[in-house]
Amino acid sequence: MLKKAVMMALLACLLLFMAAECKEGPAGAGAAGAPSSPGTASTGSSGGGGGSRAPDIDAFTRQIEYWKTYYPDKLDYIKKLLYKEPFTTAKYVPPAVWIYYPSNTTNLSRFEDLAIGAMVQTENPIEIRRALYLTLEIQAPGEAQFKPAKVGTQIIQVNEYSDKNTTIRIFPELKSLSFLARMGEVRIKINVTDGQYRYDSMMQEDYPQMGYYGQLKLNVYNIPPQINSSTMKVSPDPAKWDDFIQYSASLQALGQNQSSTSLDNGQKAVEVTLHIFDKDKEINNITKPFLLGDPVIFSTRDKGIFNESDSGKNFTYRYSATDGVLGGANTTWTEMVEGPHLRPLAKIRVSDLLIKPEDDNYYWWQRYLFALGIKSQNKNGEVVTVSLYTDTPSHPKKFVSSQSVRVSGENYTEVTFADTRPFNVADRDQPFRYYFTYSSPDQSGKYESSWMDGPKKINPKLMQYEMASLPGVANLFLILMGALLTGILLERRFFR
Amino acid sequence: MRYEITLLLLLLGVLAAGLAMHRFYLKKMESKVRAASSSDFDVKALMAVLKLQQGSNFNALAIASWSLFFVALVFLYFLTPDLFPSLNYFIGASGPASLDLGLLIFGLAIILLASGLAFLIPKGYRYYAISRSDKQMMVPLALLLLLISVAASSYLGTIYPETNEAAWNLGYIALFASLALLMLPLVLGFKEAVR
Repeated sequence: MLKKAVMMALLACLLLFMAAECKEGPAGAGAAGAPSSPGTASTGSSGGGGGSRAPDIDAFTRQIEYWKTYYPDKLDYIKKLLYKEPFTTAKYVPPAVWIYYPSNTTNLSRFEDLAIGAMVQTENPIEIRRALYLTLEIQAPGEAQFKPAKVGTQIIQVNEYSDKNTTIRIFPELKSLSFLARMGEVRIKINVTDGQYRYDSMMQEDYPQMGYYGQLKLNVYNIPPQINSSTMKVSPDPAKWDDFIQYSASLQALGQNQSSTSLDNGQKAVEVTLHIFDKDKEINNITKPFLLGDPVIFSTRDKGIFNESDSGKNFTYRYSATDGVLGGANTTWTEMVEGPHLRPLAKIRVSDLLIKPEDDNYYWWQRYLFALGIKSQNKNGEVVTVSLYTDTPSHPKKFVSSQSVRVSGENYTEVTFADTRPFNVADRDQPFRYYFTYSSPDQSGKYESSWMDGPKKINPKLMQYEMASLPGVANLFLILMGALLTGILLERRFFR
Repeated sequence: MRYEITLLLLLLGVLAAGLAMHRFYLKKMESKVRAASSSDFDVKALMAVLKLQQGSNFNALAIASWSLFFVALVFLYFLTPDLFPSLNYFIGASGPASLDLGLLIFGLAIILLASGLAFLIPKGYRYYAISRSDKQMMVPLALLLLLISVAASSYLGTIYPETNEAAWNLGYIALFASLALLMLPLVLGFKEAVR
């Protein structure tokens, strides 16, 4: 109190002195005719005459500058007089810090969204508060001690407390615990320092109903990555044993929120293994790493999978995917899926597929000749059963005819299907294709030829005869006879 | 709406009008008898009494004519895809339609399906007094006209996808004229009843 009174008295003196200066001019500079403020014209209330002038801020500033120039020692003295010693009204107490975890789920998957923060409570008045530096520490399952989490240090400034002297700060980088390499109980605490004291949150008592913990314990479990069986594809299928064969699928992690970022900057790869089975026996496998969301692709370029002796066999396959996380399930298996079906080795060669219509009209009722050339891979030749099919929008994959022929092993044998009538009126005005099937695999390992397009659409004409023709007249005559016969029969039965 | 469809509605309207005239005629007969009679009577018995024998030949030809009428009607509208692209013989029954006797099969199928109507309508003729000359003119001429209509429709089938408006019009006119002939007894009876 005494100090305050002294300070107020000094301030009053200063003001009186300034008033006197304004009235009489500065003492030292008065002889030289120095202005109320050096170098510049006076502004503000600088009216002349004998009346007193109220000092304004500019005049006061100029006065200080003047003193600084001409009376630096006195100015220093005044500064000393005006200096206010720092003071506190209470003794500094380190603030209490808890982990703030508002969720009441303590069992969670490592991909689950997480929000962890710090709840700080201080008893100190603002004058003596200090900035607090908070760092998060995690004791992962299987580890003996806490390690700093890869999140930034949070700084609580002295003015961030609420009226209740508390504040909450979330660690924004920590969005999940997907970075954990082992599943189990995870312990989390907060280390605090204010520059003088260093302590942690574990000294505090837990208040779970409020979400405040001295030490947060979470039971974390894994959801291993999975390949959706419905996305599994192998192509081409069927294929030749030495074709480029590609297996594809898509990888998904159940429960993983792809949009959230874990603590890892780089996403951990998932090890996917392709297992290939011949009947129930695994004959080959390939393992490759993939990132979640990336397509899973294996191919015969990764590894030679099949050889010539596999021709004609039907294989199955499945995937296993593991994230390598310890302390729980980390691997999933897909269903067994069929494929590829490897085509058998060629026994015949097929060429020169052709169609010959009766004429260029391509009426549906016309007769057509279809033919193909077949040569056996066996020098002695062999008997091959060949079937002819046509395909139109109205009659897809229509079987037309079949025959067994002995084909030579030295030259191509022409197999013909003459005088066929493969179409009917529903096929009119439609494009058509034709193909053959055979009982032995051809040079592509297939039992079916390629589908050949008809040279033109089938003629749109509806009826195969003219009105003034025997069938035309006969149809009409017989309809008349039918009506008359109906009349006679009904009359005899019901009118007598 | 295509004018062919309008003409189809006209045909159906004429058929409905014929049915209405027939009912009116019967009601009129009943009321006349009721007015002349002092006591009540059974309507069914009256109807039985009013029946006239029209002759076997006439009856048989009338049934044949009505059968052929339905054949001609269906041929004119449902033989080619021209009027009803998704509802025609060649789409609906492409198997039989592709045979040499495809038209005959279609015609006989229609006769079979319409035999009920073709049998019922001539039964109504029994309540009308039809003169011999009318009979001699009516049924053979109707059969001839119907044959012309069926032939015109068949011709349109043979030239499809080309069309021939004259042939279609001929088929329709012949069909309409035959209907008018076949309904002649009903019209005359109605006229008598109105008088």
